[in-house]
Amino acid sequence: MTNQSPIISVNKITKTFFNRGQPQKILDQISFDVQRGELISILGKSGCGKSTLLNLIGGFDLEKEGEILLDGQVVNQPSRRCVMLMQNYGLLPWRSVLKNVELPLENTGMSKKEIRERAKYYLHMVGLGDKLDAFPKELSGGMQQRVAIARAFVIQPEVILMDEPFAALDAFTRYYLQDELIKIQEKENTTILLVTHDIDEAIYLSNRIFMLSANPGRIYQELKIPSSRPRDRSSLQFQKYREIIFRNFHFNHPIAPIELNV
Amino acid sequence: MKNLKNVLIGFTLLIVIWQLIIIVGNYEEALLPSPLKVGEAVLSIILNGTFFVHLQVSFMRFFIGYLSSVVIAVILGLILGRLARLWAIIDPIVQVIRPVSPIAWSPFIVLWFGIGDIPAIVIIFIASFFPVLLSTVSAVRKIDKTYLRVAQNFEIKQPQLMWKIIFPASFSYIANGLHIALGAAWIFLVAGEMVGAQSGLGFLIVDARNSLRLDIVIAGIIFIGICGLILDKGIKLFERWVEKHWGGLESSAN
Repeated sequence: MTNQSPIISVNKITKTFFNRGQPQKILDQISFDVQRGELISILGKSGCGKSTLLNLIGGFDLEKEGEILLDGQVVNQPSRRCVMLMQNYGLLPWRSVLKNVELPLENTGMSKKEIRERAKYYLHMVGLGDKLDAFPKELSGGMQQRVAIARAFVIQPEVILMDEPFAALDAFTRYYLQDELIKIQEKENTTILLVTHDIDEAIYLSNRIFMLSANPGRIYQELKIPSSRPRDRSSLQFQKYREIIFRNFHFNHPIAPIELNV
Repeated sequence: MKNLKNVLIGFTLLIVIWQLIIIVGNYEEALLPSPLKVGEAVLSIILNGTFFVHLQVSFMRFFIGYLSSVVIAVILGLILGRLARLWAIIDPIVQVIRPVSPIAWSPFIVLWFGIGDIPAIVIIFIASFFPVLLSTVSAVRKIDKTYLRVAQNFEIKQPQLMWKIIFPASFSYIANGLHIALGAAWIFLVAGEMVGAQSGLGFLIVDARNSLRLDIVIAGIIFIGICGLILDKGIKLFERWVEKHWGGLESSAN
Protein backbone atom coordinates (compact mmCIF):
# COMPACT_ATOMS: atom_id res chain seq x y z
CA MET A 1 0.00 0.00 0.00
CA THR A 2 1.29 3.39 -0.86
CA ASN A 3 0.55 6.51 1.06
CA GLN A 4 -1.64 7.62 -1.80
CA SER A 5 -4.34 5.08 -1.00
CA PRO A 6 -7.19 6.40 1.15
CA ILE A 7 -6.89 5.71 4.87
CA ILE A 8 -10.64 5.22 5.15
CA SER A 9 -12.79 3.94 2.40
CA VAL A 10 -16.54 3.75 2.86
CA ASN A 11 -18.32 1.77 0.16
CA LYS A 12 -22.08 1.86 -0.26
CA ILE A 13 -22.97 1.66 3.39
CA THR A 14 -26.63 1.12 4.15
CA LYS A 15 -27.87 0.78 7.69
CA THR A 16 -31.38 -0.28 8.56
CA PHE A 17 -32.93 -0.18 12.01
CA PHE A 18 -36.08 -2.02 12.88
CA ASN A 19 -38.62 0.06 14.68
CA ARG A 20 -41.45 -2.21 15.92
CA GLY A 21 -40.74 -4.56 13.06
CA GLN A 22 -40.79 -1.75 10.52
CA PRO A 23 -37.52 -1.40 8.65
CA GLN A 24 -36.21 2.12 8.71
CA LYS A 25 -33.26 3.12 6.61
CA ILE A 26 -30.95 5.30 8.65
CA LEU A 27 -28.09 5.45 6.20
CA ASP A 28 -28.52 4.93 2.49
CA GLN A 29 -25.70 4.09 0.12
CA ILE A 30 -23.03 6.20 1.76
CA SER A 31 -19.70 6.21 -0.04
CA PHE A 32 -16.62 8.32 0.43
CA ASP A 33 -12.87 8.14 0.80
CA VAL A 34 -10.73 9.94 3.33
CA GLN A 35 -7.10 10.69 2.55
CA ARG A 36 -4.35 10.59 5.13
CA GLY A 37 -4.03 13.73 7.21
CA GLU A 38 -7.40 15.12 6.18
CA LEU A 39 -9.94 16.57 8.56
CA ILE A 40 -13.42 15.71 7.40
CA SER A 41 -16.65 16.92 8.93
CA ILE A 42 -19.91 15.12 8.54
CA LEU A 43 -22.55 17.78 8.98
CA GLY A 44 -26.20 17.13 9.56
CA LYS A 45 -29.02 17.75 11.93
CA SER A 46 -29.65 15.43 14.85
CA GLY A 47 -31.18 12.12 13.99
CA CYS A 48 -29.71 11.92 10.51
CA GLY A 49 -27.48 8.99 11.38
CA LYS A 50 -24.19 10.82 11.89
CA SER A 51 -23.29 8.97 15.06
CA THR A 52 -24.42 5.68 13.56
CA LEU A 53 -22.05 6.24 10.66
CA LEU A 54 -19.18 6.99 13.03
CA ASN A 55 -19.91 3.85 15.05
CA LEU A 56 -19.81 1.80 11.87
CA ILE A 57 -16.49 3.29 10.81
CA GLY A 58 -15.05 2.73 14.28
CA GLY A 59 -16.09 -0.93 14.17
CA PHE A 60 -18.35 -0.59 17.22
CA ASP A 61 -21.35 -1.55 15.17
CA LEU A 62 -20.88 -4.21 12.52
CA GLU A 63 -24.41 -4.74 11.25
CA LYS A 64 -24.66 -3.04 7.91
CA GLU A 65 -24.66 -3.50 4.19
CA GLY A 66 -21.58 -2.40 2.33
CA GLU A 67 -17.96 -2.31 3.28
CA ILE A 68 -15.64 -0.10 5.30
CA LEU A 69 -11.89 -0.27 4.87
CA LEU A 70 -9.29 1.13 7.21
CA ASP A 71 -6.01 1.36 5.37
CA GLY A 72 -7.19 -1.27 2.91
CA GLN A 73 -8.39 -3.73 5.56
CA VAL A 74 -12.01 -4.51 6.32
CA VAL A 75 -13.10 -3.06 9.65
CA ASN A 76 -14.57 -5.88 11.72
CA GLN A 77 -13.82 -4.68 15.25
CA PRO A 78 -12.69 -1.51 17.02
CA SER A 79 -8.95 -1.00 16.92
CA ARG A 80 -6.29 1.21 18.41
CA ARG A 81 -5.51 2.51 14.94
CA CYS A 82 -8.84 4.30 14.88
CA VAL A 83 -9.74 5.95 18.17
CA MET A 84 -13.22 7.20 18.92
CA LEU A 85 -13.67 10.29 21.04
CA MET A 86 -16.92 9.80 22.91
CA GLN A 87 -19.55 12.48 23.30
CA ASN A 88 -19.34 12.22 27.10
CA TYR A 89 -15.54 12.00 26.93
CA GLY A 90 -15.40 8.40 28.21
CA LEU A 91 -12.87 9.14 30.93
CA LEU A 92 -12.52 6.63 33.74
CA PRO A 93 -13.55 8.49 36.91
CA TRP A 94 -11.48 6.25 39.18
CA ARG A 95 -8.26 7.13 37.42
CA SER A 96 -6.36 10.38 37.67
CA VAL A 97 -5.86 12.49 34.55
CA LEU A 98 -2.39 11.08 34.01
CA LYS A 99 -3.59 7.50 34.57
CA ASN A 100 -6.41 8.03 32.10
CA VAL A 101 -3.97 9.04 29.41
CA GLU A 102 -1.64 6.18 30.29
CA LEU A 103 -4.44 3.63 29.91
CA PRO A 104 -4.10 2.93 26.18
CA LEU A 105 -0.31 2.59 26.47
CA GLU A 106 -0.40 0.08 29.30
CA ASN A 107 -0.55 -3.10 27.25
CA THR A 108 1.85 -2.05 24.53
CA GLY A 109 5.04 -3.41 26.06
CA MET A 110 6.44 0.07 26.69
CA SER A 111 8.28 0.61 29.95
CA LYS A 112 6.52 2.38 32.81
CA LYS A 113 8.85 5.33 32.44
CA GLU A 114 8.26 5.69 28.72
CA ILE A 115 4.51 5.45 29.26
CA ARG A 116 4.60 8.18 31.90
CA GLU A 117 6.71 10.49 29.78
CA ARG A 118 4.60 10.03 26.72
CA ALA A 119 1.37 10.63 28.65
CA LYS A 120 2.84 13.75 30.24
CA TYR A 121 4.02 15.01 26.86
CA TYR A 122 0.51 14.84 25.41
CA LEU A 123 -1.07 16.33 28.51
CA HIS A 124 1.33 19.24 28.27
CA MET A 125 0.39 19.55 24.63
CA VAL A 126 -3.28 20.05 25.52
CA GLY A 127 -2.30 22.47 28.30
CA LEU A 128 -3.03 20.22 31.26
CA GLY A 129 0.53 19.76 32.50
CA ASP A 130 -0.52 21.03 35.92
CA LYS A 131 -3.54 18.74 36.32
CA LEU A 132 -1.83 15.37 36.14
CA ASP A 133 -3.04 14.14 39.52
CA ALA A 134 -6.54 15.59 39.35
CA PHE A 135 -9.53 13.33 38.90
CA PRO A 136 -11.85 13.83 35.93
CA LYS A 137 -14.81 15.03 37.98
CA GLU A 138 -12.67 17.81 39.44
CA LEU A 139 -12.23 19.23 35.94
CA SER A 140 -14.51 21.37 33.80
CA GLY A 141 -16.09 19.87 30.70
CA GLY A 142 -13.54 21.56 28.47
CA MET A 143 -10.66 20.17 30.48
CA GLN A 144 -12.19 16.70 30.45
CA GLN A 145 -12.43 16.90 26.69
CA ARG A 146 -8.76 17.90 26.53
CA VAL A 147 -7.85 14.85 28.60
CA ALA A 148 -9.84 12.72 26.17
CA ILE A 149 -8.03 14.35 23.25
CA ALA A 150 -4.65 13.69 24.85
CA ARG A 151 -5.70 10.08 25.47
CA ALA A 152 -6.70 9.69 21.83
CA PHE A 153 -3.49 11.18 20.44
CA VAL A 154 -1.16 9.43 22.90
CA ILE A 155 -1.20 6.14 20.99
CA GLN A 156 -0.65 8.01 17.73
CA PRO A 157 -3.56 6.45 15.92
CA GLU A 158 -3.96 6.86 12.20
CA VAL A 159 -7.52 8.05 12.56
CA ILE A 160 -9.48 9.79 15.29
CA LEU A 161 -13.25 9.77 15.14
CA MET A 162 -15.02 12.53 17.01
CA ASP A 163 -18.69 12.45 17.89
CA GLU A 164 -19.76 16.07 18.40
CA PRO A 165 -16.66 16.66 20.45
CA PHE A 166 -17.35 20.24 21.47
CA ALA A 167 -21.13 20.26 21.57
CA ALA A 168 -21.39 20.40 25.35
CA LEU A 169 -18.94 23.27 25.77
CA ASP A 170 -19.49 27.00 25.91
CA ALA A 171 -18.52 29.04 22.85
CA PHE A 172 -15.23 30.39 24.19
CA THR A 173 -13.98 26.99 25.29
CA ARG A 174 -15.16 25.54 22.01
CA TYR A 175 -13.22 28.06 19.91
CA TYR A 176 -10.14 27.55 22.03
CA LEU A 177 -10.28 23.77 21.74
CA GLN A 178 -10.90 23.93 18.00
CA ASP A 179 -7.65 25.85 17.63
CA GLU A 180 -5.86 23.38 19.84
CA LEU A 181 -7.20 20.50 17.80
CA ILE A 182 -5.93 21.99 14.55
CA LYS A 183 -2.50 22.57 16.06
CA ILE A 184 -2.16 19.04 17.38
CA GLN A 185 -3.55 17.52 14.24
CA GLU A 186 -1.07 19.35 12.03
CA LYS A 187 1.76 18.35 14.30
CA GLU A 188 0.77 14.70 14.44
CA ASN A 189 -0.65 14.49 10.94
CA THR A 190 -3.60 12.46 12.18
CA THR A 191 -6.64 11.90 10.03
CA ILE A 192 -9.75 13.17 11.76
CA LEU A 193 -13.34 12.39 10.97
CA LEU A 194 -15.68 14.59 12.92
CA VAL A 195 -19.41 14.54 13.24
CA THR A 196 -21.12 17.81 14.07
CA HIS A 197 -24.24 19.87 13.72
CA ASP A 198 -22.30 23.07 14.17
CA ILE A 199 -21.88 24.68 10.77
CA ASP A 200 -19.16 27.11 11.87
CA GLU A 201 -17.21 24.32 13.46
CA ALA A 202 -17.31 22.32 10.25
CA ILE A 203 -16.11 25.26 8.14
CA TYR A 204 -13.46 26.29 10.62
CA LEU A 205 -11.87 22.87 10.97
CA SER A 206 -12.41 20.87 7.84
CA ASN A 207 -10.65 20.19 4.59
CA ARG A 208 -13.90 18.77 3.31
CA ILE A 209 -17.46 18.77 4.60
CA PHE A 210 -20.00 16.06 3.82
CA MET A 211 -23.53 17.20 4.24
CA LEU A 212 -25.85 14.48 5.38
CA SER A 213 -29.59 14.55 4.85
CA ALA A 214 -31.99 12.79 7.18
CA ASN A 215 -34.49 9.99 6.47
CA PRO A 216 -32.68 8.25 5.00
CA GLY A 217 -29.18 9.59 5.64
CA ARG A 218 -27.50 10.39 2.37
CA ILE A 219 -24.50 12.48 1.51
CA TYR A 220 -26.03 14.98 -0.83
CA GLN A 221 -23.24 17.48 -1.03
CA GLU A 222 -19.51 17.59 -0.59
CA LEU A 223 -17.88 20.92 0.08
CA LYS A 224 -14.14 21.40 -0.30
CA ILE A 225 -12.55 24.13 1.79
CA PRO A 226 -9.11 24.62 0.35
CA SER A 227 -8.01 27.69 2.31
CA SER A 228 -5.26 27.19 4.84
CA ARG A 229 -5.94 27.00 8.57
CA PRO A 230 -6.32 28.69 10.98
CA ARG A 231 -9.17 30.47 9.30
CA ASP A 232 -10.76 33.78 10.03
CA ARG A 233 -14.27 33.16 11.28
CA SER A 234 -15.35 36.65 10.25
CA SER A 235 -13.81 36.70 6.79
CA LEU A 236 -15.87 37.05 3.65
CA GLN A 237 -14.74 33.70 2.43
CA PHE A 238 -15.96 32.08 5.63
CA GLN A 239 -19.35 33.75 5.13
CA LYS A 240 -19.44 32.42 1.61
CA TYR A 241 -19.11 28.86 2.82
CA ARG A 242 -21.76 29.41 5.42
CA GLU A 243 -24.06 30.70 2.76
CA ILE A 244 -23.48 27.63 0.62
CA ILE A 245 -24.28 25.37 3.52
CA PHE A 246 -27.35 27.32 4.59
CA ARG A 247 -28.63 27.25 1.05
CA ASN A 248 -28.10 23.51 0.94
CA PHE A 249 -29.99 22.84 4.10
CA HIS A 250 -32.66 25.20 2.92
CA PHE A 251 -33.09 23.14 -0.23
CA ASN A 252 -33.62 20.10 1.84
CA HIS A 253 -35.95 21.61 4.36
CA PRO A 254 -37.81 24.39 2.56
CA ILE A 255 -40.13 25.18 5.45
CA ALA A 256 -37.54 25.45 8.17
CA PRO A 257 -36.52 29.03 8.90
CA ILE A 258 -32.85 29.71 8.67
CA GLU A 259 -31.22 30.39 11.96
CA LEU A 260 -27.91 32.13 11.91
CA ASN A 261 -25.93 31.49 14.97
CA VAL A 262 -22.47 32.88 15.34
CA MET B 1 -22.43 17.55 70.34
CA LYS B 2 -26.17 17.77 69.87
CA ASN B 3 -26.00 14.23 68.57
CA LEU B 4 -24.30 13.07 71.75
CA LYS B 5 -27.00 14.79 73.78
CA ASN B 6 -29.70 12.89 71.93
CA VAL B 7 -27.87 9.63 72.47
CA LEU B 8 -27.63 10.35 76.19
CA ILE B 9 -31.30 11.29 76.44
CA GLY B 10 -32.33 8.16 74.55
CA PHE B 11 -30.34 5.77 76.67
CA THR B 12 -31.26 7.46 79.93
CA LEU B 13 -34.92 7.07 78.98
CA LEU B 14 -34.37 3.43 78.08
CA ILE B 15 -32.73 2.71 81.43
CA VAL B 16 -35.43 4.58 83.35
CA ILE B 17 -38.22 2.67 81.61
CA TRP B 18 -36.36 -0.60 82.16
CA GLN B 19 -36.03 0.13 85.88
CA LEU B 20 -39.66 1.24 86.09
CA ILE B 21 -40.83 -2.01 84.56
CA ILE B 22 -38.92 -3.92 87.21
CA ILE B 23 -40.34 -1.79 90.01
CA VAL B 24 -43.92 -1.81 88.76
CA GLY B 25 -43.94 -5.48 87.78
CA ASN B 26 -41.93 -6.50 90.79
CA TYR B 27 -39.90 -8.93 88.68
CA GLU B 28 -37.13 -10.98 90.18
CA GLU B 29 -33.54 -10.49 89.09
CA ALA B 30 -33.59 -14.03 87.69
CA LEU B 31 -36.35 -13.03 85.27
CA LEU B 32 -35.26 -9.54 84.27
CA PRO B 33 -32.00 -8.23 85.68
CA SER B 34 -31.92 -4.60 86.71
CA PRO B 35 -29.79 -2.03 84.89
CA LEU B 36 -27.49 -1.82 87.86
CA LYS B 37 -26.93 -5.57 87.89
CA VAL B 38 -26.23 -5.54 84.17
CA GLY B 39 -23.84 -2.64 84.65
CA GLU B 40 -21.97 -4.68 87.18
CA ALA B 41 -21.90 -7.64 84.81
CA VAL B 42 -20.57 -5.44 82.00
CA LEU B 43 -17.79 -4.19 84.26
CA SER B 44 -16.97 -7.64 85.59
CA ILE B 45 -16.57 -9.31 82.19
CA ILE B 46 -14.45 -6.39 81.02
CA LEU B 47 -12.29 -6.43 84.14
CA ASN B 48 -11.73 -10.18 84.32
CA GLY B 49 -10.86 -10.24 80.63
CA THR B 50 -13.49 -12.77 79.47
CA PHE B 51 -15.06 -10.17 77.21
CA PHE B 52 -11.84 -9.54 75.31
CA VAL B 53 -11.11 -13.23 74.93
CA HIS B 54 -14.53 -13.83 73.38
CA LEU B 55 -14.41 -10.64 71.34
CA GLN B 56 -11.10 -11.59 69.83
CA VAL B 57 -12.33 -15.04 68.85
CA SER B 58 -15.54 -13.60 67.42
CA PHE B 59 -13.73 -10.98 65.38
CA MET B 60 -11.31 -13.56 64.05
CA ARG B 61 -14.18 -15.80 62.89
CA PHE B 62 -16.12 -12.85 61.60
CA PHE B 63 -13.32 -11.51 59.44
CA ILE B 64 -12.28 -14.90 58.11
CA GLY B 65 -15.88 -15.72 57.20
CA TYR B 66 -16.73 -12.30 55.87
CA LEU B 67 -13.56 -11.63 53.90
CA SER B 68 -13.36 -15.06 52.29
CA SER B 69 -17.01 -14.77 51.38
CA VAL B 70 -16.53 -11.30 49.91
CA VAL B 71 -13.52 -12.31 47.83
CA ILE B 72 -15.23 -15.37 46.40
CA ALA B 73 -18.59 -13.65 45.87
CA VAL B 74 -17.01 -10.66 44.12
CA ILE B 75 -14.90 -12.81 41.80
CA LEU B 76 -17.88 -15.04 40.99
CA GLY B 77 -20.11 -12.00 40.58
CA LEU B 78 -17.69 -10.34 38.16
CA ILE B 79 -17.59 -13.47 36.04
CA LEU B 80 -21.31 -14.28 36.21
CA GLY B 81 -22.21 -10.66 35.52
CA ARG B 82 -20.45 -10.96 32.17
CA LEU B 83 -22.00 -14.32 31.27
CA ALA B 84 -25.65 -13.41 30.84
CA ARG B 85 -26.63 -16.86 29.57
CA LEU B 86 -25.06 -18.70 32.52
CA TRP B 87 -26.47 -16.21 35.03
CA ALA B 88 -29.95 -16.74 33.64
CA ILE B 89 -29.59 -20.39 34.64
CA ILE B 90 -27.96 -19.79 38.03
CA ASP B 91 -30.12 -16.86 39.11
CA PRO B 92 -33.25 -18.94 39.90
CA ILE B 93 -31.19 -21.29 42.06
CA VAL B 94 -29.68 -18.34 43.92
CA GLN B 95 -33.12 -16.84 44.41
CA VAL B 96 -34.30 -20.04 46.11
CA ILE B 97 -31.25 -20.50 48.32
CA ARG B 98 -30.85 -16.85 49.27
CA PRO B 99 -33.93 -16.46 51.53
CA VAL B 100 -32.94 -19.52 53.57
CA SER B 101 -31.42 -18.49 56.89
CA PRO B 102 -27.83 -19.74 57.13
CA ILE B 103 -28.84 -21.31 60.45
CA ALA B 104 -31.05 -23.74 58.58
CA TRP B 105 -27.88 -25.30 57.20
CA SER B 106 -26.48 -25.81 60.69
CA PRO B 107 -27.22 -29.57 60.94
CA PHE B 108 -25.13 -30.11 57.82
CA ILE B 109 -22.51 -27.63 58.87
CA VAL B 110 -21.96 -29.38 62.20
CA LEU B 111 -22.06 -32.76 60.47
CA TRP B 112 -19.46 -31.75 57.90
CA PHE B 113 -17.27 -29.36 59.82
CA GLY B 114 -17.66 -30.56 63.40
CA ILE B 115 -17.54 -28.03 66.18
CA GLY B 116 -15.09 -25.23 66.86
CA ASP B 117 -14.37 -22.19 64.70
CA ILE B 118 -15.49 -23.59 61.36
CA PRO B 119 -19.29 -23.75 61.82
CA ALA B 120 -19.47 -20.09 62.81
CA ILE B 121 -17.19 -19.12 59.93
CA VAL B 122 -19.30 -21.08 57.45
CA ILE B 123 -22.50 -19.48 58.69
CA ILE B 124 -20.99 -16.00 58.40
CA PHE B 125 -19.72 -16.96 54.96
CA ILE B 126 -23.22 -17.95 53.80
CA ALA B 127 -24.80 -14.87 55.38
CA SER B 128 -22.54 -12.46 53.50
CA PHE B 129 -22.23 -14.43 50.29
CA PHE B 130 -25.55 -13.69 48.59
CA PRO B 131 -25.80 -9.94 49.16
CA VAL B 132 -22.30 -9.51 47.74
CA LEU B 133 -22.83 -11.89 44.85
CA LEU B 134 -26.11 -10.30 43.82
CA SER B 135 -24.90 -6.72 44.09
CA THR B 136 -21.74 -7.57 42.13
CA VAL B 137 -23.66 -9.28 39.34
CA SER B 138 -26.10 -6.42 39.01
CA ALA B 139 -23.27 -3.86 39.19
CA VAL B 140 -21.46 -5.57 36.35
CA ARG B 141 -24.59 -5.81 34.26
CA LYS B 142 -25.36 -2.13 34.81
CA ILE B 143 -21.87 -0.96 33.94
CA ASP B 144 -21.76 2.14 31.73
CA LYS B 145 -21.30 0.97 28.13
CA THR B 146 -18.95 3.88 27.46
CA TYR B 147 -16.26 2.24 29.56
CA LEU B 148 -16.59 -0.99 27.63
CA ARG B 149 -16.34 0.89 24.35
CA VAL B 150 -13.20 2.67 25.53
CA ALA B 151 -11.72 -0.71 26.48
CA GLN B 152 -12.68 -2.18 23.12
CA ASN B 153 -11.19 0.77 21.34
CA PHE B 154 -7.86 0.45 23.13
CA GLU B 155 -7.97 -3.33 22.66
CA ILE B 156 -7.94 -4.04 26.38
CA LYS B 157 -8.65 -7.76 26.66
CA GLN B 158 -9.27 -10.12 29.57
CA PRO B 159 -7.99 -10.34 32.24
CA GLN B 160 -7.02 -6.66 32.13
CA LEU B 161 -10.54 -5.76 31.08
CA MET B 162 -11.79 -7.24 34.34
CA TRP B 163 -9.49 -5.52 36.78
CA LYS B 164 -8.80 -2.30 34.93
CA ILE B 165 -12.30 -1.51 33.72
CA ILE B 166 -15.13 -3.74 34.93
CA PHE B 167 -14.13 -4.09 38.58
CA PRO B 168 -13.44 -0.40 39.22
CA ALA B 169 -16.45 0.68 37.16
CA SER B 170 -18.78 -1.44 39.26
CA PHE B 171 -16.99 -0.90 42.54
CA SER B 172 -19.25 1.72 44.04
CA TYR B 173 -22.25 -0.62 43.69
CA ILE B 174 -20.23 -3.53 45.00
CA ALA B 175 -19.27 -1.47 48.07
CA ASN B 176 -22.97 -1.07 48.73
CA GLY B 177 -23.35 -4.85 48.76
CA LEU B 178 -20.36 -5.14 51.09
CA HIS B 179 -22.17 -2.87 53.53
CA ILE B 180 -25.37 -4.90 53.52
CA ALA B 181 -23.41 -8.13 53.83
CA LEU B 182 -21.45 -6.82 56.79
CA GLY B 183 -24.62 -6.19 58.75
CA ALA B 184 -26.09 -9.58 57.84
CA ALA B 185 -22.86 -11.38 58.71
CA TRP B 186 -22.65 -9.72 62.10
CA ILE B 187 -26.21 -10.71 62.94
CA PHE B 188 -25.46 -14.32 62.09
CA LEU B 189 -22.19 -14.35 63.98
CA VAL B 190 -24.02 -14.76 67.27
CA ALA B 191 -26.28 -17.44 65.84
CA GLY B 192 -23.28 -19.19 64.36
CA GLU B 193 -21.49 -19.22 67.68
CA MET B 194 -24.49 -20.74 69.38
CA VAL B 195 -24.03 -23.74 67.10
CA GLY B 196 -21.28 -25.87 68.50
CA ALA B 197 -18.78 -23.19 69.45
CA GLN B 198 -16.98 -23.08 72.78
CA SER B 199 -16.01 -19.42 72.68
CA GLY B 200 -17.03 -16.09 71.17
CA LEU B 201 -19.71 -13.53 71.95
CA GLY B 202 -22.49 -15.91 70.91
CA PHE B 203 -21.10 -18.59 73.19
CA LEU B 204 -20.82 -16.04 75.99
CA ILE B 205 -24.58 -15.62 75.80
CA VAL B 206 -25.37 -19.33 75.59
CA ASP B 207 -22.99 -20.06 78.41
CA ALA B 208 -24.46 -17.33 80.62
CA ARG B 209 -27.95 -18.63 79.92
CA ASN B 210 -26.91 -22.14 80.90
CA SER B 211 -25.69 -20.85 84.24
CA LEU B 212 -28.75 -18.62 84.56
CA ARG B 213 -26.73 -15.37 84.50
CA LEU B 214 -29.21 -13.22 82.63
CA ASP B 215 -27.27 -10.08 83.60
CA ILE B 216 -24.34 -11.40 81.57
CA VAL B 217 -26.71 -12.28 78.71
CA ILE B 218 -27.80 -8.66 78.51
CA ALA B 219 -24.20 -7.47 78.87
CA GLY B 220 -23.34 -9.72 75.90
CA ILE B 221 -26.23 -8.27 73.90
CA ILE B 222 -25.01 -4.75 74.62
CA PHE B 223 -21.49 -5.60 73.47
CA ILE B 224 -22.72 -7.25 70.28
CA GLY B 225 -24.80 -4.19 69.51
CA ILE B 226 -21.94 -1.79 70.09
CA CYS B 227 -19.48 -3.84 68.02
CA GLY B 228 -22.00 -4.05 65.18
CA LEU B 229 -22.42 -0.30 65.31
CA ILE B 230 -18.66 0.23 65.18
CA LEU B 231 -18.35 -2.11 62.19
CA ASP B 232 -21.14 -0.26 60.44
CA LYS B 233 -19.44 3.09 61.05
CA GLY B 234 -16.20 1.61 59.79
CA ILE B 235 -17.64 0.45 56.51
CA LYS B 236 -19.41 3.77 56.09
CA LEU B 237 -16.02 5.47 56.25
CA PHE B 238 -14.79 2.95 53.71
CA GLU B 239 -17.73 3.76 51.44
CA ARG B 240 -17.01 7.45 51.69
CA TRP B 241 -13.42 6.76 50.72
CA VAL B 242 -14.62 4.68 47.78
CA GLU B 243 -16.94 7.43 46.66
CA LYS B 244 -14.09 9.91 46.78
CA HIS B 245 -11.73 7.75 44.75
CA TRP B 246 -14.13 5.94 42.47
CA GLY B 247 -16.71 8.67 42.04
CA GLY B 248 -20.22 8.44 43.44
CA LEU B 249 -22.85 6.10 42.11
CA GLU B 250 -23.90 8.69 39.55
CA SER B 251 -20.38 9.17 38.24
CA SER B 252 -21.25 7.50 34.96
CA ALA B 253 -23.71 10.26 34.10
CA ASN B 254 -22.63 12.90 31.68
